Amino acid sequence: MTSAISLTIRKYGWRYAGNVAFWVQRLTGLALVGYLILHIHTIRDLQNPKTFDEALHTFSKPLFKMGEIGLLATVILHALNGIRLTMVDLGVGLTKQRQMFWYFAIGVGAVLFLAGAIPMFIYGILNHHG
Amino acid sequence: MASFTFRIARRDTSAVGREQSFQVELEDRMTVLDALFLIQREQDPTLSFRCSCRVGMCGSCAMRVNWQPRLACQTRVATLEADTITVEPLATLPVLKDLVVDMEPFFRQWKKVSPTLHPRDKSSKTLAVVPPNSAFGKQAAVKRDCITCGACYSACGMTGANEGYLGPAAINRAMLRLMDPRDDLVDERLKVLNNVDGVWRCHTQFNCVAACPKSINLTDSIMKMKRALLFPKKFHDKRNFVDNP
Repeated sequence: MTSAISLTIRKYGWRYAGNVAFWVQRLTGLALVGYLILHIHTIRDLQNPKTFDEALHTFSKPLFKMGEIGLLATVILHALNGIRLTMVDLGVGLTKQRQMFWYFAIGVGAVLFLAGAIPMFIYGILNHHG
Repeated sequence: MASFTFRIARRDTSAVGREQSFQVELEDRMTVLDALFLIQREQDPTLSFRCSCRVGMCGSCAMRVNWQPRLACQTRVATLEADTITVEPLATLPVLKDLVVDMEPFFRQWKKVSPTLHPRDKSSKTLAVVPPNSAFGKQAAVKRDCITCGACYSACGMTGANEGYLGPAAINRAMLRLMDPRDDLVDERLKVLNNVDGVWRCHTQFNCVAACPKSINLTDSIMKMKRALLFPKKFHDKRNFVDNP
């Protein structure tokens, strides 16, 4: 039964890659809007150095470092799938959109993510001081 | 012979549907449509479904088999690689009974694009020659096979939320007519397409391409029409070029 479900998901993921990509783009976009609101809200604190320092201190905690790693994944997914969408809109690779999603956005994205996430994890979380 | 469980969505005049399971023994090469006939003949004569040609050219038997829109007559049960097969009517379209849907919303959109040829010279008796290497010839070869089964309309993520959206099949037909050098209803068709519920509603989910039983790249047609609307001069020049090779 498990294999039947995984088979269905794999088949669906390939056949309906465009639909998966559509929702990835929507959800990462919403997550980025959430991040931008927090980001701009913090920058507004620059007017008051004390609260700004406090905010930065909060953001150096492991929980927020984990969030930063998540942010990296979100940005990479949104950017690479955005490139795929732009190419589709230009009429380039319309028959190769599935490969563009799984190999380019997800595959290349995973490599970029690991290249950034491993140092972030080691220096931000494992060697976290105060 | 192998045993399969068919979970079929049943619905009569009441608004609420239910699911009914049937056990059937099927030969290796039998299709979902064969199974439905077997169930109707031997287990429940009230089971309703639509079919006509049984060879994948009429488009009447489109339904959701294991959650994907397919032609029941073209779907061999063995290829589904599952013991339990869920059969539901097409999504988005109103259900009349069991697996039979009302195709009216689909054809309402189909009619909007004036799907028939409107030739310049209606009295002409000469046969038109379409060179296979012309832009239209190349497109027609791969895009004219639409059997209006509604699978793309059912799979599309936009038709469900926007009743006014033309849908992939109608836009594909409009593209074929617009590229046809014999046709003379260019501006009217472009006007229908250049609308918030026309080609611009497409969000390139490619669900129509995944669902089309005739393997038509419908999103490609939609993107071609978007470009035609963005660069009308280029589009018209191309048409004229095809007209006078």
